[in-house]
Amino acid sequence: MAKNDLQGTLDLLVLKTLDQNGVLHGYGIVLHIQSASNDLLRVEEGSLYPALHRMEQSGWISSEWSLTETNRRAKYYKLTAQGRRQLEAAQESFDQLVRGVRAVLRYA
Amino acid sequence: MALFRRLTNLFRQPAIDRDIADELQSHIDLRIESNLASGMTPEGARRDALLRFGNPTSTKERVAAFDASLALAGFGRDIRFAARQLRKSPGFTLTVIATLAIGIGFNVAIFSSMDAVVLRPLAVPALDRVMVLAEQQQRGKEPFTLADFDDLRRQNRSFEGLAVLQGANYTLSGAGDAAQISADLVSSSFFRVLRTQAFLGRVFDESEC
Repeated sequence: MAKNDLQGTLDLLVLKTLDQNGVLHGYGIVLHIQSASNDLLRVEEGSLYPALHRMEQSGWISSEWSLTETNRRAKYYKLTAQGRRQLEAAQESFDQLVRGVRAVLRYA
Repeated sequence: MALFRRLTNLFRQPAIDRDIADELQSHIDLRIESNLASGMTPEGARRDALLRFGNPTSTKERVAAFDASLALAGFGRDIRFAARQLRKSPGFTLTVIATLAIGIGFNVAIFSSMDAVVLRPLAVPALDRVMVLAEQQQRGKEPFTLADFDDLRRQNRSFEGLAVLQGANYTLSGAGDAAQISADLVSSSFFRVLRTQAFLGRVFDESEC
């Protein structure tokens, strides 16, 4: 249960980020997650790119090279239709996970 | 998993590698940029960015492994798709198989016969020291007469041994139908000169001739 959940949570965060922000590069995704979580969540940058490539191969996101505002080359990612469906499913199962963990912790 | 990753890394293309390296480098550069914007020194900005990123080499390996292993999986998918398509058009598939079979069969047959007849040397030891002597006249090569052969044998000082051979046709009769056999008449020294033995049994020697 452990490793897949961690991976699944990162996937969920990335998918949600892209859903709300259109196109972002990897660094932008890291910044967004950090600020949206009020600094509570810091993405492990070593895991981000393997995850992005894995999600791209699964068809949930698509990538394109483009220029940033400061004219730097960067690879931008955006959500696909399949990715949007995956996002809903991932959100469901995460809610389930949280409810389950809470229930066990509150058990008297 | 690590072993598989190392194997798939063997099939990585340099273009994919470069793409991944560029992407990781651009991430680090963007962080350096925002570090500089928030007032760090260039050296401090760089150090912070690299520290946060972790080990770029191992990250690159892991990312590339995903791309490569999924490329292999895609390859398997392509093969299975091709197999399905072939099954859907049996006429075409059978034609292709028959053509390939005939072509390969021909090649194998021709090569085998060439190999046996031309390419492999005769099973005679020291074949490079065996010479064929012939008499050359104005009209072309003449068959050796027995008298000439005797002369050669008596005066021979260059060769270890001399033998002579004449083709002949015989009829083999006895049990069953008679058959035509092509054979050679040879001098008694024949097997000694060529240093060969019979496959079965023994050959004749001087005393029996």
